[in-house]
Amino acid sequence: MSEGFGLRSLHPSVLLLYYAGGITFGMLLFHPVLLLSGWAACLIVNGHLDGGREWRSWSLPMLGAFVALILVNPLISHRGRTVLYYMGDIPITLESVVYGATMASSLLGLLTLFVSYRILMTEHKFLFLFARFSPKAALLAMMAAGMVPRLRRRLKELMLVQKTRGIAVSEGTVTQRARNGARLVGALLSWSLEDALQTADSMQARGYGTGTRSSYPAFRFGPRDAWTAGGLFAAAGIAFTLWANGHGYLTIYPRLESFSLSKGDVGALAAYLVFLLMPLGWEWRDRTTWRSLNFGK
Amino acid sequence: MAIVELRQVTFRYPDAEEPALSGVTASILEGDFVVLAGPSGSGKSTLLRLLKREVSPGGTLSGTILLERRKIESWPAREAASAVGLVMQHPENQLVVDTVEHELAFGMENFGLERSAMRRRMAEMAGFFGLEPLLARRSDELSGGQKQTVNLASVLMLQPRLLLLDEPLAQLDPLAARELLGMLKRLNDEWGITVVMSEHRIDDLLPIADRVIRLERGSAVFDGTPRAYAAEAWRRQDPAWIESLPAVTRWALEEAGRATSIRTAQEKPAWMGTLSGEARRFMDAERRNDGGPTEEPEEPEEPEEPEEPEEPEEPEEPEEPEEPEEPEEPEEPEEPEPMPSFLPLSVKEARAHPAIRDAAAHAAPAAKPPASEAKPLLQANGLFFAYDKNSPAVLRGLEWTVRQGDRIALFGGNGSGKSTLLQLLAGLREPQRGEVRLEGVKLSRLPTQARFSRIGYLAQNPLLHFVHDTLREDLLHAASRVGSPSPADEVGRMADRLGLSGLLGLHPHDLSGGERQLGALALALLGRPQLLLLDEPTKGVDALAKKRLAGHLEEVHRAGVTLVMATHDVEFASRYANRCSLLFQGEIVADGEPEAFFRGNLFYTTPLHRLLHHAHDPKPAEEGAVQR
Amino acid sequence: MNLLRRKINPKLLVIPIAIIYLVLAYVSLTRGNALLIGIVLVLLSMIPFVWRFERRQRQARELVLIAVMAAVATVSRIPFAALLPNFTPVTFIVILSGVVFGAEAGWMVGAVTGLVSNFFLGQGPWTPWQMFAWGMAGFTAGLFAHRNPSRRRRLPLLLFGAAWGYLYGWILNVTVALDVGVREQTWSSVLAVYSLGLPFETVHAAANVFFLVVFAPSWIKLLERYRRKYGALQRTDSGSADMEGSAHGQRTAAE
Repeated sequence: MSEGFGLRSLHPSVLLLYYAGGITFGMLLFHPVLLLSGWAACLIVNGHLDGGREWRSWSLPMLGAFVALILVNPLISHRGRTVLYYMGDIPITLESVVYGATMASSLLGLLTLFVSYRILMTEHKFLFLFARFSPKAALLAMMAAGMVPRLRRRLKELMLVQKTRGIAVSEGTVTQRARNGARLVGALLSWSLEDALQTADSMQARGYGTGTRSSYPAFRFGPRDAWTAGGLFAAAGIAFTLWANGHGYLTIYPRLESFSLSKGDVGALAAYLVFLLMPLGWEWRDRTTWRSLNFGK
Repeated sequence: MAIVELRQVTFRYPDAEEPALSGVTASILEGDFVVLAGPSGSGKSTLLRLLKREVSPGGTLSGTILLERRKIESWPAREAASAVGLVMQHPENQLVVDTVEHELAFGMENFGLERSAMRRRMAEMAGFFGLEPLLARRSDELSGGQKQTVNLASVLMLQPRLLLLDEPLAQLDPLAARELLGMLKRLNDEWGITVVMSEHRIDDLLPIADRVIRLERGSAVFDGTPRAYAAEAWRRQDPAWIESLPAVTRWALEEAGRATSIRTAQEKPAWMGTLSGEARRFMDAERRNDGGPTEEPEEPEEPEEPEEPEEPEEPEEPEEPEEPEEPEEPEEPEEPEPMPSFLPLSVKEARAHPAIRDAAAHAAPAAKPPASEAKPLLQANGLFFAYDKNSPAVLRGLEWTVRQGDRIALFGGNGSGKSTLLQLLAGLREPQRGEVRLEGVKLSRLPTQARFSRIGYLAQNPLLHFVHDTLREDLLHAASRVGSPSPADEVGRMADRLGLSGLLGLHPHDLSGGERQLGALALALLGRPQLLLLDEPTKGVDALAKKRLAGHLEEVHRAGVTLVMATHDVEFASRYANRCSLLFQGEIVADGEPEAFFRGNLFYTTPLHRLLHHAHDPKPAEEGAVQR
Repeated sequence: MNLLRRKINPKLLVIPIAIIYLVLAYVSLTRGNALLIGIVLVLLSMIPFVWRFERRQRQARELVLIAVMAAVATVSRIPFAALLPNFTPVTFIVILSGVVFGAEAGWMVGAVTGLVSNFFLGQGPWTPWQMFAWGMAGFTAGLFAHRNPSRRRRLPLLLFGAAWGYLYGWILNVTVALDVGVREQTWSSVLAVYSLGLPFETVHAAANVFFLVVFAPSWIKLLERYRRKYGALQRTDSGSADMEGSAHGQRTAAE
């Protein structure tokens, strides 16, 4: 389950294409059936990556957002012809309920997509891509990312040791606690700024600023990536064409139309699902190879 | 060929009255391993940074610095950056990016190298340093020693011909320091890289260095071989110089001094008969020197002549055919040398010498009085602690008693949980099982403030104790917290006592390592503790500051405060502790008075005890005596 | 494929992609779906800042300074985790970065904070929004008070911080608000959406006000001290590259 296996073996630019497409269609296609199917596809991908562990750890906030959107939308939006009932003098319309549900499905799908993004698009891969567009900003992000764990450890040490002096966030009135917290952060700040002068020296000592930089991280764009990218483009093209011709979204306002899918909708759905699931092919292929090489283990 | 030539280099910082360097003239030969010695503030760092143009400080410079016979300022930027590599003191602060692999590549990226060239160098360097398993790790997860190795490797990626190291070992534990030193030695031997290294504890360096340059207040006061350095230190009888020698050398010199005084008392001591011819000759030389001034004008090494070749001594090496028992005898200073003629720089050299061996047999170190069975102050009963559910337990049912008036040195490997134990004893963390009792009362029952003022805790990094903009504010805060009637007076008295009066207005970051340590000590003492827990108080502190700290600790102890210090510094412990304990796998496995403790150990012991280990008949009974 | 890739500068791809997405978002908007337009605009808004940052050679100290500010801002919420939710000094640190180091650096600190904190907390659709919101907080802080000492006093900063407490939340909720606004075509519905987040934003604003009132003067002093320390790069040697470098350093300091 490490890098170089199945989905994880894909070139970062292909992954970027996958997620850009996934997010775009998750927003363009506005039909609860399509969106929930897309969500299911994302779940399958997550299941293949880590058995859904990461998704489960995020499921509670996701569910919260989902429910909140469904509940809130009818309260805010009163458009729509079909009034279900009145809460006081607020009309709750069927349209706004369905709209809220669709919106919530879209969000759920997006958030689920991002769960696999966190697994697949590692910091390393992201910064590799980012560095091609903006090398300096990427270096900056990398430096900050390198500092964070160190500063976190220091801040925790500071919090521990300063307990002995009564400068703690667990003691005193709220104002006192906030003051203490900021004092700790301030101490960390001046300490880090002091130390970072050495970091800058270390950069210059190793020739930073003597000319154009190159970039070390390398990902090979192989045939596997080319095939995947081609497939993704094809599926996206089909889905996009159908969408442009008016398929793949539900007309809710002013009056809710039928949920039933037209041929075009089905086509868009199929293309969308193919787009989301296609990279899994590599996962299956690599698993089969793995099994046949390891006698079904 | 000289790789570096300094001609009358004088340097002054913008607002400084005294120049940081004055008239330094020296030349460093290609392939040399040079040690820069000298107290803090003697200009070592300034000199190194002047050799590394990219990080040279601002100020006025006169004189010439030639790098490979070219003026250093006339080098093109890229060539200059790659020809000279620099590794600094703090391992963490030199890491720029997030993962080890990227850190190693950082320098090469700056040079715009092709990806294939980078991969190749990476493969080579990772192989040489054994870094392959670490490449994908976040550099933050590494130990201090590993971090410093990564720093060294990433500097070497640029293939420098001159490697500068500014106290690279100061923040490392002894084991990691020795490992890094071994690597430097290998680089010097196998790759022929010229190494210039500053360090205030140079005892481990002397045996492997080719040359020592000592700076004092900005001037080069010595330039010669390590052995000549040891001789010069002895001749000067300056404690600052003597402190910088390896313990074994110091001991041998002191032993020689003692021999002289014994000899004046009784014409021939009993053990003189066993002396080898060579040692006898050194005794004779001593006799000739007897009563004469310590400063001998006919001294062959003049510090003012740095170019003086020390090598002529070497050809004399295969002398003394009448000494078959010491074939690997290292080179000696010349016969007319009025110094002790035998100067061992390592335990091995010392042991090879029968005179020393015999002297060792007779010179049983004075035993300190054993720890009294005073009443228990702090008791740890069955302490069990793990940082989280899934990580292995750090402490596993630890039992330990700290008695009133103890001065305990707590030893243990890296990551053995010494710091964790101290934090538990200080009441900063709660054990998952077991309890800590202060005079019979459970720590968790004591009100927080009483707990933290009765038990003073000094973290490994003293900076953790300061959160205000000046030392005074921090001290005032501490004094008013314990309810002092007039905090300002109290702070003034404390500052006087610890010699911090002149520093009160400074920002804690502007203090030196030793001063920060004393500042943190002052903070703890303001709470009038009964017990002080110190975590590695001597880390990164120079010999002089260490001495000052020891003096203050001794005074604090006399005033009735019990001391517990976790340390790697065996020498410090052997001088100042009256009880030693060893933490291993979450338990105290050895606990006893220092002499017995050190005599029973080969690793957690002083070089001197290592030397004496074989001289004394190793009674197995001693091991039993160590247990409590 | 490889040949193709080598010939295309990825930076040039940004323009056609941006145009395509703008068209997409617009068409989508005409069909009553406003989900895409916000995120497209937010991403586009970052391009000029990043481009400006790329344009000139950056001193090591400049990068390190921004990285430290962003890293400290990222970890600064740790001590407050046990306090009130949303009561953190992150925005406060970003604002002060803008005030002391200028608008451009302020934007960078804010955006990098948004990006890097999500490396550790988990990326999501909110990442670009947070980058944008904090980036703008830093940027406007620089415009507001970097060159104008009278605005560095407590009262103006307090008002500025309070405003950003609300603005930040509003920016993060733009997608929903825009969606509702486009559908309902009324401002009251937008206000209704925003009023739901009001308690959170009030806590955020209160945090900003608290930190700015209590700590702004001392922190500004501290950061000014380091701005000088980082900027005062007077190299002794006259290597041309270095002279240029220190000139850059000076300019950074002056900005």
